[in-house]
Amino acid sequence: MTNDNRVPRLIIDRISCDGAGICAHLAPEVIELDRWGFPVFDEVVDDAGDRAIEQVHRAVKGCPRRALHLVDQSSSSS
Amino acid sequence: MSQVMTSMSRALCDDGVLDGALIRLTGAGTTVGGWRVDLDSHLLRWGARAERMGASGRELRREVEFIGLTGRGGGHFPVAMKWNAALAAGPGGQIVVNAAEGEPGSGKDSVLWQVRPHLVLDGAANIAEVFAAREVVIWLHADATATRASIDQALAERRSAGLDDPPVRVLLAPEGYTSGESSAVIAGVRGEPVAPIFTPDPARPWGEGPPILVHNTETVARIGLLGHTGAADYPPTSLITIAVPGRAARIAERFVLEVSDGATVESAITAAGLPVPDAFLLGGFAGSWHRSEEASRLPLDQGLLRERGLSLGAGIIYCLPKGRTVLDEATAIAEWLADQSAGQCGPCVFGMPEMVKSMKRGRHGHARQLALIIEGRGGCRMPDGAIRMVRSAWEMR
Repeated sequence: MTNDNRVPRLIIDRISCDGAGICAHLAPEVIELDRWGFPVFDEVVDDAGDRAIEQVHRAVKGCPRRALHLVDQSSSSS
Repeated sequence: MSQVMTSMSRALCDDGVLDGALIRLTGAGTTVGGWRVDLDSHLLRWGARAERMGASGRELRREVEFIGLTGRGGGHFPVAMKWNAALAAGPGGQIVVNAAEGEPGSGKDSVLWQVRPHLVLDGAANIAEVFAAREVVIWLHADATATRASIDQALAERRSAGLDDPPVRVLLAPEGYTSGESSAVIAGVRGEPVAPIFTPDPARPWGEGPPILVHNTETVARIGLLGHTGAADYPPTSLITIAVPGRAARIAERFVLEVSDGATVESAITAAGLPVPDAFLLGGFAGSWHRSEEASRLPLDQGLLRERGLSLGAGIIYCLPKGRTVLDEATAIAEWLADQSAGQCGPCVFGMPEMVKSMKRGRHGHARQLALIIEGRGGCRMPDGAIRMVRSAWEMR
């Protein structure tokens, strides 16, 4: 709901995600898994530090379902 | 016209879309009461669809913004804002009138199609003009036979009168709560499997290309009315469905009426000739529970409700049946919703049934923790709505 533009955000296509869990291994500082094996994370990755951001990039690339996306603009809410 | 006389109450208004009628819907979704306005009567009252909209519908767009029209499917998103994003996507799109009332407690859209079909179709034609759309699609549940008959008849009436309408297509939706969700509607219109889709940009849920603009039936009827009255004479009313449930969150009866400023939950229930229940669910299955002794005077006005952190949603007042507790009923509804999952997202597929199981065992503390994990993590808003509803029940205890 924030209006910060140009803040990198990690967004997930929940519909494509099937809970493989690879993202949590590739980005342990940013992503954890819930009790059913689906990723939990903070959408705003701006203040996560260089190493965390590198991990996020790996998770985005490594998702077998291509369900993770790092986007630049804010996802304005409807 | 006897309904008008017998229900002369502050809640009912006689200058809106329903002309003061109180309409009952049978279990099969057929209207009782009210009267169907055919094309001849419609033209007699309103005249032909207005040619007063100006170039590319600019005047209508201004008026929609002026009256602050919001989406009546439940989200109350400003129509003018939705239109701005869709206009930027260019001409040649599709206007979808969503008549698939997935929520069993809702009946207003079926009523509109059955008694005022030409207001809806005028609205659809107005919107199609604004967007230079290539067609209008009416999205309708396959088993809504009475509604479909009225739509078919209305389209035939307009064809034989030679009205200047865009091409209109009726598209039948599969059953279920999520098949009326707007991104699922977009998928269906594209010929894809009908289930919510990932919409990275909420302002352009159709993705690339010409817009697929989905509007709730009441929203479209209001745009039809606005085209006839203009903003100055537009009646700022709302349609309300009062749902009287039977067993296990199944609906026994629905009453639809139209309210204006000053109407409250209590005045609407009374105008429908029903006793005020001990508690009610305001806004429908994604709404909030309230006890009548504290909240029966709540205004049926989205602006005023929003100030209290509440919402009219799709205009549903769901009455608590006698002999049931709010928590029983909230659990039954949550179970029904969990069962309606499109089965696509883990937190919904696994989380909702587990939360319901805990509730049924009386382990509400555990259910509350699960709600925190599920919340905000569905592909659509169904789980969030269910959680809002059960939370309001928990907070009442």
